[in-house]
Amino acid sequence: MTNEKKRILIVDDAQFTRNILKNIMNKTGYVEIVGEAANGKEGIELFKKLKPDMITMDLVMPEKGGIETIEEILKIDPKALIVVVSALGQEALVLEAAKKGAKDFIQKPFKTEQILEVLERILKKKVE
Amino acid sequence: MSISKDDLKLFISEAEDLVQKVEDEVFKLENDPNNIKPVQELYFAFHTLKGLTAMANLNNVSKFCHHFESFLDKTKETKIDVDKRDDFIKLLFDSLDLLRSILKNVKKGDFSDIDENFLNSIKESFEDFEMASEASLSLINPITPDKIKNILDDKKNFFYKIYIRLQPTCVFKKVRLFIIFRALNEFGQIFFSKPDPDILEEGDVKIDFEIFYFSQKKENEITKVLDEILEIENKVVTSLKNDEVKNLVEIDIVNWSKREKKKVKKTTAEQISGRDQKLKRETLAKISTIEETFEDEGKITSVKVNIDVLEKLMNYFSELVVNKNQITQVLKNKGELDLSRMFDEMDKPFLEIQEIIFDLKLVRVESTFRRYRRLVRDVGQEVGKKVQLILEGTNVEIDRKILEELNGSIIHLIRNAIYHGIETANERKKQKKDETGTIRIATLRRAGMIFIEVEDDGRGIDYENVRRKAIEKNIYSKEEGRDLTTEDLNRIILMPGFSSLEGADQISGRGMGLAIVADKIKELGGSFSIQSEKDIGTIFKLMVPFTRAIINAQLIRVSGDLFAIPTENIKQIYLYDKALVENVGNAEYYKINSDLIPIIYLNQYLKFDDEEKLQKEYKSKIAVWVKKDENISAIFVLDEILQQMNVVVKPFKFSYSDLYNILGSTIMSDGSICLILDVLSIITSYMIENKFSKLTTIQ
Repeated sequence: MTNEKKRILIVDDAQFTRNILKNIMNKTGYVEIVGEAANGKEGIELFKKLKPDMITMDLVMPEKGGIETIEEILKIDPKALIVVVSALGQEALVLEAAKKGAKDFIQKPFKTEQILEVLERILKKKVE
Repeated sequence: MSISKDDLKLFISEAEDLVQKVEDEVFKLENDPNNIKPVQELYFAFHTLKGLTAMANLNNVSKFCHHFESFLDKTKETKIDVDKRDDFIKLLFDSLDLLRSILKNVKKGDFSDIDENFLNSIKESFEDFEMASEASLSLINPITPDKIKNILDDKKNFFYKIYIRLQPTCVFKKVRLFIIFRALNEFGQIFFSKPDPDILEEGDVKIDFEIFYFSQKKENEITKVLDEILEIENKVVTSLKNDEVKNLVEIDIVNWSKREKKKVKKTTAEQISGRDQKLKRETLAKISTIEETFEDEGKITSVKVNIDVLEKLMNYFSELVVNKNQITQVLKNKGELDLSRMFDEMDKPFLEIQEIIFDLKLVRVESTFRRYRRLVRDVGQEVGKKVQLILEGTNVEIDRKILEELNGSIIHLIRNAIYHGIETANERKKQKKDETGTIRIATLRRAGMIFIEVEDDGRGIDYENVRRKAIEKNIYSKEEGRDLTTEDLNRIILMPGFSSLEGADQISGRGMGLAIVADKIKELGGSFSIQSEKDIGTIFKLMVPFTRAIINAQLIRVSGDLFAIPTENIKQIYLYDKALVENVGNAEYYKINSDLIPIIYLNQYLKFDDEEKLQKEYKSKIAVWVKKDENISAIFVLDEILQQMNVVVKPFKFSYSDLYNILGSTIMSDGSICLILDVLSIITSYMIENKFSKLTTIQ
């Protein structure tokens, strides 16, 4: 077991959401936000460069949407851990994302505990 | 080719049904592209067609169906790409045309197969449709009893019941369940669930559920898999004993799959994989003689009979009825009362058989009417108009012969409505109508008659123009023309040749040939009328008897000649009492209680030219109250009533213009011909001739 921080890439077109995610995650001290992308295209570029341990993925974005981005990222690395962060009322889209291979999902607006649960369950980083 | 003639017929009938089925499902798919059921149904239809055509040695047709089948198999669990959907539907329609033309050839004895090049091009076009390969999403795969033994015997397998409660805040349950099931299926197989798999796969769960699962993983490893998933509040993994598993498979799963099968008429996954071998084994004769509609117990509930056989059966039965009547008559004449009584006792089984045969002759109008969807679509596209078809009352049953005969007329009316009735989308927009025109075909059965309304919401008939044209063409003088009622104008439209007059197309808004339709309906013993309002639309009303084989008739005598009145038209029979006759205006009415019913003296009405016959012993002894429905009734005054009997109606093959008031004829036991009166025609034409203001009774 290493104590290395898990590296996370946030893909979301809203700066506001990215900031909230960043704040919650940084506070835990267990993870590190290594990159932020405002659309899928940037997301894929950053993924190639950074090889993060986990990606949080918005679904509706300009340039390249989340579904397509998930597909392309998994083509590059089938083991990539992608957690969808979607708005309410997008169930069909989220299901589509899951079928494409997203690991799990949470909905906006999310609470701090939900983000912590993601870290605990998916990254095995228990936050006390 | 070693197929017998009978088998061939059955092959064609079976294949035609399947092709029709395909068409129905394509329409469903077109209307509701997100519905996965039509895709599944299409898959089964093509699968069966594949087997069937292979049996008929149409190998490339079979391969053709196979391409459809395998494509549909892939799309069955997912959805067809939105961008490609229209192309796919068009391809399906084209394939239908192709299959129909092949069947048409087969009927003529031409078994030429599709050529190889075409087959390859079809295959290529399917490759275009292929989408990014997606994992099969069948998340719960119930085990059938025949498979369970091997799985149980494999000692590496552990069986579990997993109870899961979701967090109450979980909203996207379908996705949540998908993620849970996908994670578990990676290390084993979920083989059943409570609630039922079909419910669970739809995400239709309150908060908790149980799944049954087998895997080579240990309990703690299963728990670990679930630990990685969000929104699970609680989970309990318990081991299942072998007999618990057996019970589950043999009782719960079997019961569920039965219910499932009944609901969607599809076989379980196991049976599908076994279908190929099964189809090969089934001989053509076996597939086709019987349309096996298996219910739970595997009982055969419906049998397909060749229509020719049915026709023969009915004709022989009809002859038998006539023969029996003849024999009874002869026996009575000879005073052989015992024997004639014995023959009379045969009436009951005869009636029973007759009723059964009636039913056999009946088909739902749906069997023919559903084809109109395609017609409306095609004709609409041809003339560039948006048209939708609404069918109502498609479960009404009608004599298949009559349905066949009606078909042409209804097709004519539909075409007319689209060509001339429904406006273009632009015109409709200007009129503030829905851009899509609607044709509605409503069917109703009442008192032995079928009422069919073909209605459109198009531009309607411009009666003023019809009136002008009628005067212009010298059908009526100016004065007469002015007084023409809408009913008169409707009759004019139906006059042979009127609607085909030059320019009439634009005037009436109707094409040619309505007269032909009207004639055809009359020939069937029915009636045809029009109701229309400018800019609102037009309703064509068809009324036909639902069958025309054997009817119960009252024999009557008028001026010494024998006639028959269908007993279903008779309300009451009275002794004629002159004191009850009242004159109102020029007309005579018969007083029954407080109602006054118009009188028709049949001897006058039937216009015996023969002076002698007119005079001849007309006794005015009987008054028969006849009706078509509650509103249309009259009193027929005649000489004598004789017995009631079942008669075989022979419709006139030619249109006798003078005999429009005759339903048909029947052959009597002494071999003479008796005419059966068409009560409605008589009443309406009498009213019109005698200018009764209303067809109804005076109250």
